[in-house]
Amino acid sequence: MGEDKDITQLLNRWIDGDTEAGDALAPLVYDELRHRAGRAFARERPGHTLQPTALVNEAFAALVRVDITWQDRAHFFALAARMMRRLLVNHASAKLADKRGGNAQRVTLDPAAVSSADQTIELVRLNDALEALAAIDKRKAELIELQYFGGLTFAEMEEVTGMSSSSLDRHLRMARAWLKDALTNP
Amino acid sequence: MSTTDWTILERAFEEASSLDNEQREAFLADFTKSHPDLVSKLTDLLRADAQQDDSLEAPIRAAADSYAEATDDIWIGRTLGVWRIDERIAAGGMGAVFLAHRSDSEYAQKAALKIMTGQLLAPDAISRFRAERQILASLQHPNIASLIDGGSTDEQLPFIVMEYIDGRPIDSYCDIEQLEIRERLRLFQKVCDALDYAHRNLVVHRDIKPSNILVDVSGEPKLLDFGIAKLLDAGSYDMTQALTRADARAMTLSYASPEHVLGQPVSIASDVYSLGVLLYRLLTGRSPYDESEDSQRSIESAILETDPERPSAAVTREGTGRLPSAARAQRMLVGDLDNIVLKALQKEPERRYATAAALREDIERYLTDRPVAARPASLVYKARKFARRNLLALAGSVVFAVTVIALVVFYTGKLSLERDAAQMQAERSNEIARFLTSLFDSASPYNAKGQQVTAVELLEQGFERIESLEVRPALQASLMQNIGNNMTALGQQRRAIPMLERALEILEQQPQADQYVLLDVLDILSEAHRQVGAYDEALAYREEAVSLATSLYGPNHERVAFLMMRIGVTLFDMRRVDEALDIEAQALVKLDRIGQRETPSAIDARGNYANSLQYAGRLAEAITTHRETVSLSERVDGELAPNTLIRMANLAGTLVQVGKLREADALIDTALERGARVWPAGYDQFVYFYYQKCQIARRLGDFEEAIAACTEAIEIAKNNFGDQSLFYARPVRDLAALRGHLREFESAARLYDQAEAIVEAGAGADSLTMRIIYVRRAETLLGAGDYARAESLLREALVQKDRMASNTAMFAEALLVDALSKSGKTDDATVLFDEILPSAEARYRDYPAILPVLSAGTAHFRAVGDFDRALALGEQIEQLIAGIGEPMSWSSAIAFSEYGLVLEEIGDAKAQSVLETSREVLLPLFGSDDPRVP
Repeated sequence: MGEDKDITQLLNRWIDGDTEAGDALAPLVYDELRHRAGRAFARERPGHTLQPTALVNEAFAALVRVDITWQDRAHFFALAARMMRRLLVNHASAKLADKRGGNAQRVTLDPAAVSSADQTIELVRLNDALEALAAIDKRKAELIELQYFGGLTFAEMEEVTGMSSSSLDRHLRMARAWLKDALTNP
Repeated sequence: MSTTDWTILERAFEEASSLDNEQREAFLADFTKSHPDLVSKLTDLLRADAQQDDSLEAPIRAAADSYAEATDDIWIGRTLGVWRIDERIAAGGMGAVFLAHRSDSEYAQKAALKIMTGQLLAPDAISRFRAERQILASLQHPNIASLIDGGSTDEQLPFIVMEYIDGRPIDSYCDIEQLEIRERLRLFQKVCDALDYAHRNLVVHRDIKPSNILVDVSGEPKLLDFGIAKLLDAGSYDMTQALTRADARAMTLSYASPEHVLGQPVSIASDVYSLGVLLYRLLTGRSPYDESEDSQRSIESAILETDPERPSAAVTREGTGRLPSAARAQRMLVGDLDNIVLKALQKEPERRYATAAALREDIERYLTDRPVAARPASLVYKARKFARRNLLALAGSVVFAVTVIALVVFYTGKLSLERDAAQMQAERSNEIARFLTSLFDSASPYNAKGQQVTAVELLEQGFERIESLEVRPALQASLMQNIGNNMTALGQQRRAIPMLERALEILEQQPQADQYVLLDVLDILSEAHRQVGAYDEALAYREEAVSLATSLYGPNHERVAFLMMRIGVTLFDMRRVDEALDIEAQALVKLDRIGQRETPSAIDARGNYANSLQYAGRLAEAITTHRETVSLSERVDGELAPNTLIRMANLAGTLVQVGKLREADALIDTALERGARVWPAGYDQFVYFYYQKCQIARRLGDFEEAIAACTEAIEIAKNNFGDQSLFYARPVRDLAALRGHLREFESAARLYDQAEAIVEAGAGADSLTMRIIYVRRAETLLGAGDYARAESLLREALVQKDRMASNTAMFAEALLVDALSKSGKTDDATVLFDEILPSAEARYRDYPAILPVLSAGTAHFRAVGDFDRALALGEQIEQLIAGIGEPMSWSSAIAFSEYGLVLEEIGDAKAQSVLETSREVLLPLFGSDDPRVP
């Protein structure tokens, strides 16, 4: 794949602080995730949270076929989590727009459909809450993004962020409480 | 919010969230004074902190699901193995179906390719899909669309490639080709053949309808879509369980059999019924039920209650219908064909044709002008049927009740992890075993011929099949885990362990193994080891699980605390009670700290901790903790929740030990009364409740009630677990002890023999259960004056003293002092007594549990003439009894009378009143001839 090198270069430049490289990289990652999302989510894991880690891993492997350091990998995860969030939020917003549009007259009786519509709204609200959190405490919002949209395990997050177990736990706990509160008391 | 405020809030949150409720209130009060503007936000955050994180995860999960659904058409144009996907044919319940062609071949072989796509996020989807593939692979028949290929996509989604049938559904084929009745029957016979072949391979199709039977260009019918078929095999447990819920939707209703509509197990007979509907349609052009009714409910009730019109009448009423000549058709249908169709459509499965082959054969008889087997219903039958029809509504509610019970069993089995719930675990396993067995029974007409296969064997076969499957290792491991899990549920831990270890091995070889599946495997594996008593392995796996869970979820997560609690349970089983207490306490602290005090697992953890405390003889703490557990449980699980009732019974058992007999009795009565409202009579859990009731009634001196409770427990245990089970042996032992108290020694001996024989055959002669029987038996033997035998049994029992509950061990030692003293081994008795007294006093100084020790000592020292010591012990007895604060129990009275006898011996005037008090308690119970009555 000829573009491997380009992507790696883009990634390196982005890590070095080149925002333009980030802009160029984002659509590629986004696209890769989009293509892989359908089946990755099909891997059911009863009783557990959705973990798109595998997906992000695969997207990474597909995009960057050369060895890079873990540090770079960590950056990639952060980017991928951001992209995953964007992907799902865009999808949810499109769905909401759809519902508000042509089908406004239709009354849905299927309880499953109703709850799925509710969940769509919930995702948009969660996203808004996350934005609001980012405005107060950017780091916490990023951690949540890594955990829930990047699907990283606790140990992976320790490694990616370089934070200690206790301070990571502290940040996440506060962030979750803040978000849950924001969702119940808008 | 300013940065400063945020930092203050952050610090306050961190501190407050690590405090317990009481400290937290104090902290909040201070915080209100120092930061009045921030306190309400802090309170909100703390409240949110205690909520589950689901509101954060669920929307993301839902969006992912929805996204996956919306985007599965990335498939067109892709090549899977040698197959290139051309177009989408259908998005069936099981996945998307595509038309594909072989890309590596000169002639373009067409095929139908089915992929398990993203919308199938139901937990059972993958096993259902796998089942369909296995089913198809096992079926090779000219009238069944065959499996050509299969594999996994790059993304590891399973797919199957099937023969592509370019044809028409059988009903429209018949109409378009204008087939005559005889031609329709010949075509239908081939469908019967195909289905009979499937049945003989233990496959029930369950969705027979025209759109699943295509007739190809050469006029051959082909049966397709085994998507909801039931393979009577391994992985199908989960599948079928899930299907019972989704069945009505998955199956096309107008072809569904009455048992299917009722949600009862479906079988070969259900397919035969659907064949009947199909035949009806082929012969009359319409459904046996009025299809103008559009609601699902009215079709359901028609299937359950309405007798279909005779086909000959239906075809007339329909006018020309879609048959070439309705009038001629009617003449042909009257009589034999009417009877054949209606026999296939009987409401009761046993009245239909036994097999598809029998239906086919009867049609053959018709076609060759021989007498058919089907006969019109007799009058008697019709009358009976009328009565039965009106019972169908009732049948529905029975099914409902069974479902509710099954759910209760399932959830109690799942949630209640306290030791006393072992019975329920067994119940759940039995339930599953019965379920699997019944599925098999109902579906196979061949088991009568000695081919019966048990659920366990099916699972083993399933495992072997998975072992040989060439699939993604992670999937293989996950299927193995599934089977191993079901094996465990069936109580086949020893068989499950190698399966789970194999799954573990596969997972550990995978660098990218799914860590969450790995955690589940470790968890189940450890539990399986624990249940077979391989505690060291159980502990090792559990510790590995804790460290894995910590790395997946972080140290302060419910799952980690929960696994720690299970380590405690294992340590408890090893009777390393102090260590168990230690880790259980840690788990509780962790749960409190993360604000998860009121989740089911946190309440479980608390209950376990209370049980450990009780076992260790830390009674005051045990009671406090039990009380907390009960009140949390009442609030969180509900007053009638099975777990709440079990916890009440646990508390009652501990109250008995501190002599609070009346409170214990009221509590167990409440639990029994609530139990009767939520469980059917004879439910397993009552064995435990009646056991506690029996203990309490016995101590209260209500022997009649105690015997009744005990007998009840025996009956239920016998019905549910069989008369060779430990559940049965235990109440038999208790009944023996009761007979002993009543000095019915022969009857007691018989019962003890019976209990010992069962335990010897089951848990073994050197089990803890056996040793506890010895303790009780020794008590009875002492009463009968057989000191030598009592001594030898007690010595045998005390070999495992460290593993017994501390009060049982103490009781056995007290009995041994008594036995030694009474058989003249007085020096030994003195030595033993001096040895046991300190530890008994350390734990039980203020509790009636110590009375047997004090009483044995008093009697012994009186007998050897050491009146000073005898008197000191007697005074201790008096003090203790006075402190209980309940009317004197008979066992207290016996101890008290020992004190009286010492006083009498030394000429103390108080002797008479002490003896009189004892006598008042004991005389009405035992009568004047009893040696226990002074």
